[in-house]
Amino acid sequence: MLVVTTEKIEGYKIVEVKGPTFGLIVRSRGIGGDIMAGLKSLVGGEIKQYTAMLEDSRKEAMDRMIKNANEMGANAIVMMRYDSGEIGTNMSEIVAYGTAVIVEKI
Amino acid sequence: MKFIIGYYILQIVIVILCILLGYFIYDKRFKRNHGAKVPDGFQSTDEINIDPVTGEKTRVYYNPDTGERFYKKEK
Repeated sequence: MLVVTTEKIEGYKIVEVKGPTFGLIVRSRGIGGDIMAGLKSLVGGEIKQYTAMLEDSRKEAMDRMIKNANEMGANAIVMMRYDSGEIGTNMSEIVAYGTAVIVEKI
Repeated sequence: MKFIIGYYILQIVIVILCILLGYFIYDKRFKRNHGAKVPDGFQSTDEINIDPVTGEKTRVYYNPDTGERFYKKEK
């Protein structure tokens, strides 16, 4: 599955647009991770507990988006983007979205 | 007095229980131990991730039939 952030894919032509596809995930670190992150925030620097959470969230959102696009019969996703938000005080929402298309080599 | 002490002990036990459940069961890294052997039907892609916390490099394998992705650690 080709996934690009551009409108077109070099060397390919879009023969069919299947429609929008997305993958959504909401994650939290739990009370243990939050306590450790809170302590780390007192002294500054990178909060690795949250870096790991967001890294995993983005991977999982992308996996779900690609799986949805595969179910739609697409073989590529163009204009892929990430968006993020917060739910409550310690939950992070990440959505990966794009347009599922069928492409052919030129 | 005993009730108040018992109440605080119960609170501490609940917090410790939540921390242990998170550490050992729920709060795991995503597909971290996905396995060294790539299952049948998965194709190699050029997508590589370097984990910002552990520094491990993983390559993504894709199954065009199911749409699933497999993360294999690389040296």
